[in-house]
Amino acid sequence: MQPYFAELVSIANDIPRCYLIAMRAQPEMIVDAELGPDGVWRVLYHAVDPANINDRAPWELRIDDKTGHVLSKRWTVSEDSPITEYDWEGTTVGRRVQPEPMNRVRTFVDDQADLAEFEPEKVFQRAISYRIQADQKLNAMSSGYVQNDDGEWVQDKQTQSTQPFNDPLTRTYRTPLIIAGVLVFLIAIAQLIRKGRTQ
Amino acid sequence: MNAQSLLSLAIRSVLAIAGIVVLMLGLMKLTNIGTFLAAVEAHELMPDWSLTPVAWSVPVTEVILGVGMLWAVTTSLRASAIGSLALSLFLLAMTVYAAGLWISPPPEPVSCGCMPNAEVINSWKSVTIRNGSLTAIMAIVSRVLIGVSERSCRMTTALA
Repeated sequence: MQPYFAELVSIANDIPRCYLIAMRAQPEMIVDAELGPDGVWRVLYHAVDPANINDRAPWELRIDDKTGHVLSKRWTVSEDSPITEYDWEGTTVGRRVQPEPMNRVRTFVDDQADLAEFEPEKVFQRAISYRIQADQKLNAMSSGYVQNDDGEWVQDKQTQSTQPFNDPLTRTYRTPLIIAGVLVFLIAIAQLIRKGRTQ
Repeated sequence: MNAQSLLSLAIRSVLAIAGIVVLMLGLMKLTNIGTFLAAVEAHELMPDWSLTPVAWSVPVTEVILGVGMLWAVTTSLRASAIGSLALSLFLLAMTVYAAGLWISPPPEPVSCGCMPNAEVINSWKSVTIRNGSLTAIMAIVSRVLIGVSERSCRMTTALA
């Protein structure tokens, strides 16, 4: 079976408990593991396929020996490489302190949850009874509002306008398309003028 | 319309499409420069001081190439040949960059940064081959256009 370090690491980046699961599944990704006097393991590992490692520096994880909590992650390529920290308060699977900039949803797994509440019938019954509120919520979201941590609905700074065709994906292509269209038009006009003059 | 005119029309149409694609890619990067800069940074191939100049110069070059290509294909065969040669040189640089990432891949899987929503690259070898193939195609197109333009030049001189 092909190694799948990268896939495991990308999951573990957001759910740090998965680092130990990943390292148990693929022990060959670990370069070195040493328990320090402070009760913290310093684990060196590679996140890429062994065929691509060459002389690349490994990554370093700090893992608490008693709790098994991954405390931080750092690439050992230089002393000042940025550190990714993990928070374990209120969860046993952990979460990233500073998630990816594009990630607008904070990953949080409630491992104290009552599993009976997640049976399909209960989930969908709840959805039906919440339909009106859900519609209101969707309307608010499509109008550029987001719910903050206090449950309050506020105007989303990332969504400046509520005009149609103004979602982030459309915005990605809209501006370049408009500029490209204008440039093509200008080239056509300039060529017509140029050819008119030469005739 | 003879075979030579048809061939040059077909090639110039393809080059016009290539010009629009390159122009769009450049403009998409420029309007999302932060995403492209992050991708170049994540590649871990260039020294830190060169990241910002590279992140700006690539899309600016693409826009210039795109506009230049569109101007060239609507001007003359010779200009189209120069345009496709310039594009093949740019693609050659992109092939060398991709080859660098093939030899020394990023520590974690990242996208190529070609587009703001580009997917994560699993094999830089295939990106290198893709860019290399495009470079070869553009170089061949350029050579064919130079040949056609020289032939039509000779015909014009003979007729004169």
